[in-house]
Amino acid sequence: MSEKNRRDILKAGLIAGGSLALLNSCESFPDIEIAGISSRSVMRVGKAIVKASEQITPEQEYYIGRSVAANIYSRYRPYNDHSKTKYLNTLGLHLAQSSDLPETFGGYHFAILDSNEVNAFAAPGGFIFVTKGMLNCCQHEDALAAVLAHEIAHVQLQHGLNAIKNSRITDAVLVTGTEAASTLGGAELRKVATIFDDSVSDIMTNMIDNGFSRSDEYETDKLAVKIMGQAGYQNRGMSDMLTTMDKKLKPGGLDFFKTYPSPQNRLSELSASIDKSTIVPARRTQRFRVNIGQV
Amino acid sequence: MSEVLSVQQKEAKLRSKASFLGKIFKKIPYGTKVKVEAEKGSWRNVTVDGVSGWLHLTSLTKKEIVLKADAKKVDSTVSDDELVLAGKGFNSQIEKDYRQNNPKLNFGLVDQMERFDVQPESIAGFIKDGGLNNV
Repeated sequence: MSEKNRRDILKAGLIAGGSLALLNSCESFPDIEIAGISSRSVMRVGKAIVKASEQITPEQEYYIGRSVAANIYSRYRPYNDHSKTKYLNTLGLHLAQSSDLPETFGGYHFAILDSNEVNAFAAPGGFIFVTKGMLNCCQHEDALAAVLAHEIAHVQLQHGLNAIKNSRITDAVLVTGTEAASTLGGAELRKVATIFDDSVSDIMTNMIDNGFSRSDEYETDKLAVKIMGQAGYQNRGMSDMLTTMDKKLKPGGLDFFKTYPSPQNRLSELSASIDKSTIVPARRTQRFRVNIGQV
Repeated sequence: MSEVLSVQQKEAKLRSKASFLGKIFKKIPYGTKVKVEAEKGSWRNVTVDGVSGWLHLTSLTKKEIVLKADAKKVDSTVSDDELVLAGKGFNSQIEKDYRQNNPKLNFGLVDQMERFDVQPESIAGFIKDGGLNNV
């Protein structure tokens, strides 16, 4: 199953009320009925909601993601701690590799931002950022797994790419056509460069300034909980992290409150899929304290 | 008959076994055609340049990837469902232009982020020590 097809099913499965069991076995897309819903009809619904991302190849997504990542670094300083960054990347890669879309064009990469603001970002293609303030909302490894799984889910659901206005992509397709792989002429190059610039701006505005829609965030949380389970993490990590975040966030602040649904609303949306009776193993709590602790 | 697929990653990692914990012994560039010899779940055993190993299915596509040098040979009636033009639209040339127009952006930090590598052995140890699920 190609990355593109897997993503169509990923989206369709979430629309069908989380019937994601479909994902693991569906190599050649047999038409299966789940709760009276045909998988092929679900896929058609899924395709209908795919917007700009439909036209963008994984390679193009990678180049957009690199520029969005460079813009994130223009607003936040990097936090260069090799051992913390290694722990973050090891955990993040284990989550990504446990998911249904373990590979992207350029792979998944994780970095810490030197800011006490509570925030995290996912640039298209797999560039994932977590602030020090967000790390401090986590008491154990399973809570940090919830943060990273949420950002990985944003990448897989292509919420960044879908922030690009459709007209820009239509224009890009018209300009490039099938001549695109050869060197573009001066006028065409300028047009595509302008569309690229505007597309990066669309994503920055949506991701950092306005935030994704509430329904996108809830959809992302659901996929995150699934990824956590596949990797072997307790899904209560998500509720522990959101509960701590709820205590730390200040109304009117510049961070999550501005761009996200409240932690309480996210908890209430997830209530049916989280088992709070489980216990996070002491070795993972200890490992988190040793590798991250208070930042 | 063996199926031929194309690598749709910048650099796909050929592994010694059908797992992300398998040792990486070769990196295969974007657009390379590989011959599928066997299947195991979401993994494909492939042969490329006489070397055999495992690639995850999401590294591969059934579409033909046309690299820059061959782009002019492309039949314009062939649909996007059948092939991908490498370097179409947003590419390294467009990024270069964007960087020239935004000289304050630090792409070196993005390159540094991409270079940060974690070996499969480290992830295997992390999974075992944390009592997590194998991949």
